[in-house]
Amino acid sequence: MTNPAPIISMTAVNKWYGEYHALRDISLEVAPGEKLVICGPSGSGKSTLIRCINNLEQHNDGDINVDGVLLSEDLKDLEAIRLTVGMVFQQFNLFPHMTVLDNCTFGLRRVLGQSRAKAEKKALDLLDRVQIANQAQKFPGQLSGGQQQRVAIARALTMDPKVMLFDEPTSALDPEMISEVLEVMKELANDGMTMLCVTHEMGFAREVADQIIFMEEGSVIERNDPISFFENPRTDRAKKFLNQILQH
Amino acid sequence: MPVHEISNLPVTPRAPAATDRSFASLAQWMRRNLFQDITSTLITVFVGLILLWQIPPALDWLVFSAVFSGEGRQACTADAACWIPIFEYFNVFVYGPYPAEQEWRVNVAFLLGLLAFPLLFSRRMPRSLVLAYAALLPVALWLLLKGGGFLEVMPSTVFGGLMLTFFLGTIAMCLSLPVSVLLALGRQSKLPIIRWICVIYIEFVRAVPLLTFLFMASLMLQIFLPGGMEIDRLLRILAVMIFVSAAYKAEILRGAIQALPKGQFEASYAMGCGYWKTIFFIIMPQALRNSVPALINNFIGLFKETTLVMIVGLLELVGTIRAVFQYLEWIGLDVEGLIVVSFTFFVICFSIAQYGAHLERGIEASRH
Repeated sequence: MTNPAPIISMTAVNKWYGEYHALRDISLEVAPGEKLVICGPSGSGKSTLIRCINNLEQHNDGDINVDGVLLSEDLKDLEAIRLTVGMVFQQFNLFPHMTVLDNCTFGLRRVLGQSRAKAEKKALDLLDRVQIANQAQKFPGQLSGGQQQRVAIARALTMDPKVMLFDEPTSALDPEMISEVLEVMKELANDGMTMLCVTHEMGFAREVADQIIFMEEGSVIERNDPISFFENPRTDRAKKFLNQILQH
Repeated sequence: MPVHEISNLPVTPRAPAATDRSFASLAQWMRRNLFQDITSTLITVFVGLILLWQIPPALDWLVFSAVFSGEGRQACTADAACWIPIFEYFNVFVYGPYPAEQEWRVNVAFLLGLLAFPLLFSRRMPRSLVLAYAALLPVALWLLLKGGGFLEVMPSTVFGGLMLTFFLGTIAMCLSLPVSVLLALGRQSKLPIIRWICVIYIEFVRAVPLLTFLFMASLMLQIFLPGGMEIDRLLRILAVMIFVSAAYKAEILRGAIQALPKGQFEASYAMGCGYWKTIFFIIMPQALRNSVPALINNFIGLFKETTLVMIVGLLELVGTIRAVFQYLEWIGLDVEGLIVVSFTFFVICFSIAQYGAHLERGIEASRH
């Protein structure tokens, strides 16, 4: 079996918040099209890990390579990486002063310099794909949480990212809205997007993930395929975590 | 009923019914708002009596017994307002000592200022156009009133009256906002040098009275400048007003920026957007919206502070009016003059406040 060149590779990445060692020697490779679900107890460094990939958090030590570009102080490299990587946040982070449509054309027009007409056409296509095109003229505050998160996904997709990072995308949602967001994410996975998801949705992980990464105290302590991970986790800590999270 | 039958219906006269209805709704409104219970009825009656007692003599003094025309002081009466000097010196109040044959320049300047209002109040106007107008207005006013190019250059000494108030107020308002944005951002900068310069600047300026700066700018600066070098006096005064006011606005904006969720920056950065574009398109629009009430407060304060320049010898509206009532002939008529000043300032400041309310209504609409 030939291994394609990884689209993301992290080598011995360390991150400290003052004295607190948030990421310990993380080495990780993600192949194009691969879907990773990152789970673990809170405070284990899951969010920090994916936020280091697009430099929303700065790692202190080690190399992060995205699609052939080494993350460095160079703003050109940083911009290239951020254009390759799309991100969806727990709190949606839509721009409340702009309509849904303007939220989705912002990157195209202001970062890529496209015309309004061209940007709106693409934005509407993507809003249609997340089934929310009829709300395009509304402001984010007028939508439900689930709708907002779908807009946020569409907004990230407007930039044609090769990798999508999801930082607990359903954790701020009411239960009845979780599935509409997960549906969109599953479709995205079926289309072959490379995805890194921090999530507690184990059903989603089982169904969609190629690999599950289990983190604790800043280290990756298990990387496994979903079936083995759920049926027969290698570490006691993962076993305990699964027991706690699957009890309900 | 089929449509064609509607036109055959007897036409009933509607007007009386409408009057009845509006009268009924007025009565209802009064019952609800003025006479709801014993306490509010008592207050209504009490306030009504005070108004009845005070308004007729006030109107009598201001209008009915007042003297509007006549020859000199002897035409005035002792127990009513005398508006003769207001009309006689109207041009002085508006244009100050600006040369009469150049007054058209002042008129154009006023017009440019007034034009800002329909621009600001229109909801369909593109924001870039409004911003461009606000950015160019100070330059246009300076070139127009001060001269340059094909316009005769005017010395600062001919600036006075309402025109000077308007000139200082408008330019200071337009230019202090962008300066304050830079100060607010600088104070939160990651670069320690920039941050410390901004902190020291803001703290220093806020701790010293505006009057002190005005005195320093108009009197002391000349001592420190190398011989022969002179900065126009109006320019110095304007710079003081802009930079002092910007320090206060910077703190208003800093609060508003800090109140925004960090996720707003992150979402923009994550799309590859750089710092300045994020500030311009994402952060500042929201920060400015959230600080509208405080900023309008500051704008109104700034406009009223233009009256302080009379202390350093520039006669704006209040100074001009006070000067006129120093003439022996008109001495003792200050009250009429101050009423005119109050009315003028009220109209201008109330308009600014209304613009603030207009902005807030627009923002409210996008929240629901």
